[in-house]
Amino acid sequence: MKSSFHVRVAVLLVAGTAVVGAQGNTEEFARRQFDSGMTFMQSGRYTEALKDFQTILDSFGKSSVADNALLQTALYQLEIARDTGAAQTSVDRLLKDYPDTDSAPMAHIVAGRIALAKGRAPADVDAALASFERVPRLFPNDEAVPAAGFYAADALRIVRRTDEALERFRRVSMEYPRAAWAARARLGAALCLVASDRAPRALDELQRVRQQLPESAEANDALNYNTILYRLYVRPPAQPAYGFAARYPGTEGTKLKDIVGVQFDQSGQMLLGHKLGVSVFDPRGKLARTIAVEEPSSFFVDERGRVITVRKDRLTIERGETTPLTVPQPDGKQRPVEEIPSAVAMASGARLIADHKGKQVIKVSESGAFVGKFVGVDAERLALNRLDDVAMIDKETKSIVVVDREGKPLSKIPQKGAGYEFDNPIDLKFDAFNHIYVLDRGRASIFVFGPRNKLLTTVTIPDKSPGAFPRAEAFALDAAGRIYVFDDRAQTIQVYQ
Amino acid sequence: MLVLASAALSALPALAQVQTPDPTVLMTQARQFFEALDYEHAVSALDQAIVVLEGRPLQDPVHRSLPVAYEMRARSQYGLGKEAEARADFVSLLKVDPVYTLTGQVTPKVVAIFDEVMKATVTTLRLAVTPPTAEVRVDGVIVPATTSMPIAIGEHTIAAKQVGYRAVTQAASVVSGQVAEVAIALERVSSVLAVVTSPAGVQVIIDGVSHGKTEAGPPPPDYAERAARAGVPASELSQLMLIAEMQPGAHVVEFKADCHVSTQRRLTVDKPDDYTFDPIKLEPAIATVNIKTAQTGAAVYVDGKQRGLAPMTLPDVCEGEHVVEVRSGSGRYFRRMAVHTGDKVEMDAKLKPAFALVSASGQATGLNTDLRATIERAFEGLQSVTLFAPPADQLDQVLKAQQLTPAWLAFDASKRALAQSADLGAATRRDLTGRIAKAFDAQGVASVTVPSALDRSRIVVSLLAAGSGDPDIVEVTIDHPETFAAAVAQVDRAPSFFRPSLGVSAIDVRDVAGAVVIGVDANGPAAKAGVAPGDVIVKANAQPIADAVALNALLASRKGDEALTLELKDRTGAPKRADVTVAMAPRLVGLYDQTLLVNRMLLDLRNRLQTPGSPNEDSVLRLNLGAALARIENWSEARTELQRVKLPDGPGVSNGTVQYLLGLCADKLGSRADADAAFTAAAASDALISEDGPSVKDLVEARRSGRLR
Repeated sequence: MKSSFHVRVAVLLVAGTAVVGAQGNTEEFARRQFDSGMTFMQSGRYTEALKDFQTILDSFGKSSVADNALLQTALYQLEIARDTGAAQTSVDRLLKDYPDTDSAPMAHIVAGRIALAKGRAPADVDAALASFERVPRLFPNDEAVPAAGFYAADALRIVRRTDEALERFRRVSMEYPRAAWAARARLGAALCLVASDRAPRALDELQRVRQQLPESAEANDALNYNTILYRLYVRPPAQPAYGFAARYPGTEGTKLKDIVGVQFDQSGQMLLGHKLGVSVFDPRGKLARTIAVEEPSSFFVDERGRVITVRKDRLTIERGETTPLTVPQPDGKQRPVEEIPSAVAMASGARLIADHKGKQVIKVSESGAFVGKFVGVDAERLALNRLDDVAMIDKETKSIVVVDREGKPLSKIPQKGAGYEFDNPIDLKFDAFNHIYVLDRGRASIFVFGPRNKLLTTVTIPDKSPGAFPRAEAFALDAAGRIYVFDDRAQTIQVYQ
Repeated sequence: MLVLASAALSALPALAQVQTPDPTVLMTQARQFFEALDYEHAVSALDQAIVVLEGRPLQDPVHRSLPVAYEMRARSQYGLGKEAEARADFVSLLKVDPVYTLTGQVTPKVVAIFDEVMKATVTTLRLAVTPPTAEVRVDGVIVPATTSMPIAIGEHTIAAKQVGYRAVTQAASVVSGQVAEVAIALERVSSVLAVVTSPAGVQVIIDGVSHGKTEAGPPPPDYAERAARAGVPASELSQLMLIAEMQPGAHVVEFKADCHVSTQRRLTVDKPDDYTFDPIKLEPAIATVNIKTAQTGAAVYVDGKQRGLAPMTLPDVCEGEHVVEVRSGSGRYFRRMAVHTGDKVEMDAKLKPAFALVSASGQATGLNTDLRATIERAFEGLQSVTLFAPPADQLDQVLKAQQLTPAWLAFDASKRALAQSADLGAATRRDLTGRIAKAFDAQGVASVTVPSALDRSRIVVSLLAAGSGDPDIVEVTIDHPETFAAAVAQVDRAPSFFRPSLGVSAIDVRDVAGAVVIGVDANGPAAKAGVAPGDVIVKANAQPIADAVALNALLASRKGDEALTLELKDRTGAPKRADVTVAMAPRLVGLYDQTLLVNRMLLDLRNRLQTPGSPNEDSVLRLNLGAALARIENWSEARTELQRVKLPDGPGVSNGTVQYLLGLCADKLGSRADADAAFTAAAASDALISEDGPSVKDLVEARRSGRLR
């Protein structure tokens, strides 16, 4: 009894101390939970990160990191889960419950990005711009102001209001010259200058990025961009834009055959599609892995960075999950898409599939469900740029058709134009500036077209000279605009720079 | 004349009804009548004069005429045959002045009457009062403590007093023909301390209680000897200060005076007595401050009072804390300092543009003192500008005159105006910053704000040039000292207005080693040395140049006119060489850069332009000044400065840049035609708005298309 009494007193004392301690450390605990969430987020363990953020919102809603937790949740929903509805709910809650916190300016920016992710109709763009413009008005000296300026400019660029975008990008770089956003704004300004046929002016703009933030990712982009512009606008006409440099080290010594495609992913790895699958080479040219697939007809890298192979009527995700593709017929039956010469993934996750049998390009969801006919072109190859514009080789007309993300025609490069005539175009690519590169097997050339589809340069290596590609099958561009051509006669990949 | 005088005299009663006649005038008239032997009118005038004189106090100098009036009336009465009245007047005379002697020519008979009256009216008073230093008065007139003096017979009052003694007042009845003997011994009731100081004005504190200050001398004569003994000139001594009621026991007596070394004495009162110190001499407590400055003629102030013009030596700065300032129209040297006796302080006064801290709002964590003083101390390490807090009373006065509260210039870290500041509006604020800066002889004003009650450790310091409505913001956190250091560094960060240049644009290209030249200024050093677009710079002064970033890094450390040998490859890959001279290209900073402290820069530029430099240097500084003025929307002054800028045409920051800015000013000032002309000139140039672009051509185009305002 006595001992029992002592135990109870001790328990009460400990409990009392714990209550006082918890009250005193609520803020500290919330901060630790937030740090934990951020660590999970940075290592890609999103579920655990979201648990931490949700705990803060449920239990420490009045702590100083509650708004940050909500912001991180919204960013996850927008950027990773691509769930604009959930992201909108989080941002609305943040702006309602924490309107004057340090997360509020960024929440307005996220709100703008959500509006833009929902669509690019004038109303969506206006809503996005309004959100971005609230930041300097409500928080005039906040460090989010240049970010808001950048996103507003980029929204205008995306919807092709290029001159307005250029002014906004310039405002960011002039008003906040030392911010990281200034570097991004200069990259954006360079894209606008090239898009509006003022490429030489972009050179200085890009060099300033390298000057200001030499070690940054933006400086690396600027170097790549300037390299592209230098080749296309400075070298010619006094010098050829491209010259044969070397054979691709990763494939040297091997005789390549039956290549179905070459491309680079975002991290600079080269992917080579062949009859046994897709081989992935790291940026130094070393074979990193091979994704085994029997006789794929094509492959692409999706919005999540996964390699998707195409075989007959189905798409196969890297680790084996396959999705059959069918097209509904007027009689209600489903027709398998049997021949797929090319496919690409849009930023939204939708896939565009060249349906050779149907002489069309169809749009399917990430899960493979038919969404609709995208465009009525019998496309040999598809290429996608960062705006989700799609360029395709029209097999019938031997021309290049460019449409926007909704399938609306933007432009066309006819079979014959000033300084060129396509004979057998077999592959095409966009570079970072949306120049279109067309590989013509018949001409053993690559034609490069500028923003108004004007021929900028032709890459041709005289036959029997080193680097000639008389029987080219496919090609890729890396971030710096180097060209990697697979030629069936050389049976290797040759590099031009 | 006599008739006239009589007529004048007859008018006197009427005059007397309205005011008391002047006894001097009456006496003059009476003497005229008396000397003209007109005794009737003389008596009449003297009657009135005596009435007036008797009514005057003893201390009044006019009262001294009363015995003369009595004498004159007595002799006039005698002249009229009225001897009894004459005798009565002599009695009255001798009661007023027992030692009086008749004046002028007097008949023997009158003398005999006077002597007879004197014998019957005056006798001798023998007075003996102890202590001999007592103040003694007979009928209110001070007399020596021990004396033998004539006195009129009758009743008299004798009073004696002395500090430390009980005062005595007693009546004395003086009888004709007898010597009156009066002896008074004052009874001591307390001890008395007598103090004389050099200088006067010394505060005397006994056992911690102040007994007032000594007054200007002289002291009693016997202090001369003591003063000599103490080595003090008698002329510097104070009056004697007596402190009564000294209680028995040991006492500490302190002597304090501004600007002097304090001293103290010990005193033991063991019995009721008079206690005296030798004259207390306080030595001056002063330091010498020698002020040198490059700005000769700037005004020197100590504690707000002007002391002369720099350079100067202040030989008499009192020991203690002081504010020494050296002020000119463009800047101020400000130093709070404590000096000690004998210090010789050397001051090299570097005048810097000054912000007066004229607004404070909110309560910071852990700070009960004036926020302005805290910020002044925290920012005293500033090299480029001065931040000072004017005295609170002066600030109150200035703000009251403008009907402003102390929060009139409050901003948060987002530059949002708070409290009264939010009600003012930018235009009013611009006007007020100009006026209040002028009131404090400052080039700008500053405020300190604790914007949030939730986080009272965060302090926002706002800086505004005179005439600016848009502040520079610097934020500090009370419990993070590193934020203060960062804030000081931020304010001191000075942009440079020139950069080394070769007159080439170069870029980095992957797979190309070196800096790839894409543009060459036709008038620049590189063009003169034969560098052409398409060339690749691979070495400079034999150092490999990996890329354009490396070339710029190398250039950044070079000075104007420095020679560089470039090794290049031309478009074909052939090697070439170019000897170039580094030029200093102008820069325009701050026109758009929101992260730059434009108010601080504006003060700096105004200050730098006080000292003329080369025409080119002045032009570039003035261009930047114009841009800074444009930033604070002072368009008129901006235009004036820009109109004085002379830069050549060409690429980079050049005449086209100036034209663009002039266009902006003209547009804002409503001169559409001038704006169009300036924009047209700008658009025709290859100029950039800053070294980092964009081109003014693009800006004009954007403006004309309505995309840019």
